[in-house]
Amino acid sequence: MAKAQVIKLRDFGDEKLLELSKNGLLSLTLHEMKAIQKYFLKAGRDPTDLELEMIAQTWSEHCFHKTFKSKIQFTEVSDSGSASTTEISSLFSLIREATEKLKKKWCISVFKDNAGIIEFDRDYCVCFKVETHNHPSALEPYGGAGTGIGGVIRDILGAGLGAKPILNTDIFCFGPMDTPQENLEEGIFHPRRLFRGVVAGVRDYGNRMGIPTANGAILFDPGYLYNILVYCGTVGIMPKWAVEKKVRPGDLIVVIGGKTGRDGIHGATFSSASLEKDIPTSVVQIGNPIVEKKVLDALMTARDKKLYSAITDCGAGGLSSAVGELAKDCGAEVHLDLVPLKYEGLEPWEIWVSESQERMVLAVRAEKFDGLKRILESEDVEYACIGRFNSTKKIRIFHYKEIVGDLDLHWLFEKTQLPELKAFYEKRQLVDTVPSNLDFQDCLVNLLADPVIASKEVVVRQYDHEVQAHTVMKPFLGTDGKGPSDAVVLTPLYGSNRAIVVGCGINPWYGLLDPYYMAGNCIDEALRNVVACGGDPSRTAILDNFCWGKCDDPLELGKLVRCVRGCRDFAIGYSVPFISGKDSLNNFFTRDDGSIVSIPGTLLISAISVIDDARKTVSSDFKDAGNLIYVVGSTSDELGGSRLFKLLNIEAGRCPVPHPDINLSVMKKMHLAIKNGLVQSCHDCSEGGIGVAISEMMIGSGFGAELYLQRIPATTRKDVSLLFSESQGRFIVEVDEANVDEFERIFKGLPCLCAGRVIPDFRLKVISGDKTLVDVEGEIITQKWSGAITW
Amino acid sequence: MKKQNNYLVQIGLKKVFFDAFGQDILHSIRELGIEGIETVYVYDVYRVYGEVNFSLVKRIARSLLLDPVAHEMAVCRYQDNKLKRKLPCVEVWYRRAVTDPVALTAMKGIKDLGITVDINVSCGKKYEFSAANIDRPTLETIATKILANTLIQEFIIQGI
Repeated sequence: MAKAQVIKLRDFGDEKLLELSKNGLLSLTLHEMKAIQKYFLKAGRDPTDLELEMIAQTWSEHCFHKTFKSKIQFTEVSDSGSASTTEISSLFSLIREATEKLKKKWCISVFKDNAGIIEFDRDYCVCFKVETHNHPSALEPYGGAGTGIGGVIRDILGAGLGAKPILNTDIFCFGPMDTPQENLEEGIFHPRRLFRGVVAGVRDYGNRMGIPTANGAILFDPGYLYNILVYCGTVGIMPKWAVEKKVRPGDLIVVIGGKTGRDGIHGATFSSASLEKDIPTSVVQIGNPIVEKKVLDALMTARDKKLYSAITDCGAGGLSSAVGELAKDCGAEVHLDLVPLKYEGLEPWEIWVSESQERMVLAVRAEKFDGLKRILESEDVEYACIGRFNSTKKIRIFHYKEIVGDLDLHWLFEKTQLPELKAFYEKRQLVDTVPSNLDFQDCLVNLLADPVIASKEVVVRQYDHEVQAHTVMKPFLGTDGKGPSDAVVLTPLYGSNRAIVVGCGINPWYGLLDPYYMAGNCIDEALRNVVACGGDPSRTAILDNFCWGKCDDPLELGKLVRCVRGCRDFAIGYSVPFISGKDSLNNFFTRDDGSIVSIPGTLLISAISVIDDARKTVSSDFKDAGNLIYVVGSTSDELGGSRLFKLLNIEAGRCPVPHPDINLSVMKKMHLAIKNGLVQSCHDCSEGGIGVAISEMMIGSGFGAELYLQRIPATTRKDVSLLFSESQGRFIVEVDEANVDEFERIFKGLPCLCAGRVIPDFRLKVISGDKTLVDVEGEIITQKWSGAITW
Repeated sequence: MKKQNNYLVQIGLKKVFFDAFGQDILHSIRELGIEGIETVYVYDVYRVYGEVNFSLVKRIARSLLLDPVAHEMAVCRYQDNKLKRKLPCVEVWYRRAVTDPVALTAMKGIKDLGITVDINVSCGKKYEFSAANIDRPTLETIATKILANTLIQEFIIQGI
């Protein structure tokens, strides 16, 4: 029988403490190691290996979010050169500030549970969580991505008393797929291998769970060659009474689902460190969706019979994290020898921190355990009662009657040794740059084949969009099912037309110019996507997911601070609350020569909105020749960070600056116009600008379009900006002539002009004054857009 | 203690069917710049070991692992390894202690068949290469760049 080892660290000096942290893969700083030493000096004993592992897991960046909770001295140098320093109590407080200020009554549970929860109707709530699984997916793309989606599904099962998952989302960032193999460091997988493995992992897990995967994005940039990003999200629906959970002393601790093995050991601490070459096998997790599906089915029945009083998932940190979180306000006693194991020989600490998949932890009243057992057995779900919650405020862990861990929960979770961080940001001088003498048609056709813009159908069709039969608006639309949708619309309750709409916004290239405006642009884009389908901007909630580089570098942290400030300011500006979020930091790679490659700071904003009637939604494909094309929202010379500049290799320019006052009014009116049936089709205008947006509306429809550039509402008259600028808050709208008066009345006082017409010929004509800048057949547009990404 | 045996079950698509997976692997090999391989055949391989005999393994394979419409199968003693000789091939297996969900499901399926003896299963893939000329270093490159993630899997090159 394996026994706990005592680690004699009370006499250690700084060097030995750091060595212990590094060799044990604990990822703890000297400051933290000293705090541990102090605790055990006061306790008069040395820690066991299990205690050390539990502390490391609880305090890991992945679980404790130290960077987001720490105080920061932030120095910002303005473009005029003057510096100012402010103290930020924490990045997390900035995010919360927006939600607290907005006080939306339909926000039911924010920032405290496994997912953000909003009201759906009188009886139901919907919850939404997005996670990242970057490091594991870089090492084993299939297993890493599969367990990424498996993990976020369990977050939804562990939100409140458990929600039924109804939608998965996925957003990936890879290196360019045409990267020569010889350009990669040894041990780094080629982007194409990562791409195929990640997509297959998400596909197989989501499809086998019977959950539609129907919204997402894929980005390609050399900044992601060493560290890919894999965002996985899940939406769930639950009755309102199931929102609150409560652990009571005396409740049994019941673990259900998969057995525990060595897989995923040190996942939490490993996720908190940089990607290095020599990684142990044990950090990789392999998922088993069939086991999780059985857990899901059993839980939904047990929840409705009210057979448990609290639940959480076993994610990063395994039982240590799950039991610790549930017990932190009361206390618990756990017997590790009762945990079902995959095989013999596991050390007690391995059982405690293993991240074996498909496990949930429940708090169960003793008198309800028999009822729960019957349901678990009927669904063929393994279970074990491994201990009991109590009121000691301590966690005591036993292995065959030997005590192997005894920690004060208040000390463990309310850790006050957070470091004080320094961050620095110098605003870039952004210069207006507008190229001239371009071949507009050539640029447009090449942009359509840009992998960031091009159709992801080869990926998206691998996912089941329709399982559960809730999906109303799918990822590809139009008469031939080829045109892109801005967001996904689902009616989660059979017999009801009430719907949710889910979309996202992500653009790291704006962040290279200014992370503050990147945040605003991502929020605007996510909102635009849901509004373009019929979502109500005043009933929309958002989620943040920050993936950043080496955050102990003040310059990198400075960019993050500026991005978070942008999140706060623009969330308030657009009156849209954050309900959940997650950060994944330290996405960097150390090369052989010691140089560090960080990812571009990347923010994903996911948006969820409620629609009263799914029949009052619109798709993006043109509906009929003769209808008028309106451009709503103003265009400016904002080409910095655009796909056109990427195509032309121009690094300068101004990135788009969102104007929440005008853009929110536009979105509210757009919602009204769609609701009143005045809009035939609507598409948000994002990467590639108006030229790409109109081309995409053609692709799904078989109709063509004539666009008169100089009629577009704008602060500029430069053709290149009018066609390719990525200014925010814009929509392309198709309106039947019969509805023109009412449509224009709704948008009175806002930037909204008729700039073209849908034509029966399948071709795009772009005219400026007396010049035809683009005259291209629809087949070429479709071929370029659809054929750029191959499997 | 009853006699422990060790068998290998190989399941592959009947040759009349298009092997999309094999074609995909071939495509990836060509992307690597390796020419000269004409066809890749992909098989699911299962190591079935414990208190089993030949007829029990065949029953398990037919009942659980084989789709008789699309697949054909072969079974041999693991140590005889008769299935591994015809063409150059690479077998890929999970390393010990890495979760093997298909094997776990197979073991559950064996119990559901009413077979109560102690049987273990491991799952792998076998890739056979039809090529006029192929050497071991090329197969090693294919194995490490395409077929196996050596962090969690190990590969065996045979038939060369």
